[in-house]
Amino acid sequence: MNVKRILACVATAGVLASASNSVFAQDSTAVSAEASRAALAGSGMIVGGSAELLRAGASFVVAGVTATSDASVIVLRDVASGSQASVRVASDVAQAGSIAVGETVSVVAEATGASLLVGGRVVAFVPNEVGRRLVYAARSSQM
Amino acid sequence: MLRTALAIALALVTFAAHAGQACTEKQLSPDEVRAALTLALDVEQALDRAGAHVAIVARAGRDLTRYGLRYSHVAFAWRDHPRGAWTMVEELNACGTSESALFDDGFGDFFLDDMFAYEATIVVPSPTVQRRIGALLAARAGGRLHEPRYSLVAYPWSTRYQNSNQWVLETTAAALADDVPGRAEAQAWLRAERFRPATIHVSAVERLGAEWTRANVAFDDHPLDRRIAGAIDVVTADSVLAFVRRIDPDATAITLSVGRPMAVPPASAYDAPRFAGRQPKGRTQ
Repeated sequence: MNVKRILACVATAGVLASASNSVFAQDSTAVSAEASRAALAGSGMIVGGSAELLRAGASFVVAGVTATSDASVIVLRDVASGSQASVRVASDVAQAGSIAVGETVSVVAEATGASLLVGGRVVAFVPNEVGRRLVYAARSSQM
Repeated sequence: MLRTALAIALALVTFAAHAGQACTEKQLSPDEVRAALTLALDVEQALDRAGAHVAIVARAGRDLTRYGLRYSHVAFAWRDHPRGAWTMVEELNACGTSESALFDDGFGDFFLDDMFAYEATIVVPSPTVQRRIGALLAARAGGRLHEPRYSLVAYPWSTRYQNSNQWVLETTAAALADDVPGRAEAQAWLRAERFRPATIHVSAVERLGAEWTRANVAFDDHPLDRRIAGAIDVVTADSVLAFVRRIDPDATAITLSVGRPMAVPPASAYDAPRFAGRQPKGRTQ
């Protein structure tokens, strides 16, 4: 009998927790500057070569893909100049098989950074100086 | 047997207490980072074009359209922050706990989250109102309007708890009214100025569930009759925007979006900005 009561409590707790989730969706949670920078790095970050290569209209060929536990590094070779740049992206991009050596990567440059596209899909967004400038977080001077 | 069942029950209740809380570190996709930074830059440029130095910015971090709400969070955008760049000054909850703090964030950080939609509405107050809010922020007086005990559904006419939108509202009140040393006086002024909070309808099951499982939700500051009726009055982002626009008729509103715009909630439930003097700008990917 006691066990039944406890299990009933557990079931009730589950139902109540579930019921509260939909109503109290929250949007005011502190995100640290480190978390924001991690989001940028996970999206795409130049770790080798020059960011200058990621100009509008540039075309690259994937020269290599190296997967680590938490990220992948894609080596891009500029079709026009032969210069190379290495971009660190989230691991799932490479694991999903969406990038393979020899594939063509195009660049769309925007005000806050450059999108790298493979087969029309954005596989990385590399923030430029303007984009990085927008990231800052600190305890308020109002406190 | 009984001990095992009790252990399972406790474990599950503990799990429930943490379920659904924010601060889960979702990896943003390249498209989401791109959208966040693009919207951040658009907001900054719109403020510069408007010649503003203080504004109130609302974001759509969560889908609240079923409650007739469009935005989930507001902050002050302040050009003359001591760090020398446009900065969001805002109250944020500390990862689903019962505490909050004030933060100074870059515009990028404001949108670098798991947004429901990359849309923002900026309310640019009249020059007089901007000057008064700016003076309060420059005097670092926002802290005296801050209550660190946090509740997502803090009652608008109690000082026991505070939610993030309430801090912006009460700080605005302190800037505009004379002789407002703290929250109680700010709320008295807001009541006199007929601030109208939103009322969300919360069933007894939902209320009980939240009280059991969420450290950042409390109802004990709400009047008993309203609680029993399931009528929970709360300061929402939309109600802050609507109030500022009503008491400051020369304020203007700008809506910016990156990607697909949100479906608009029913007109009867949403006190939408009229975009007086400005045209809303849309941006598509």
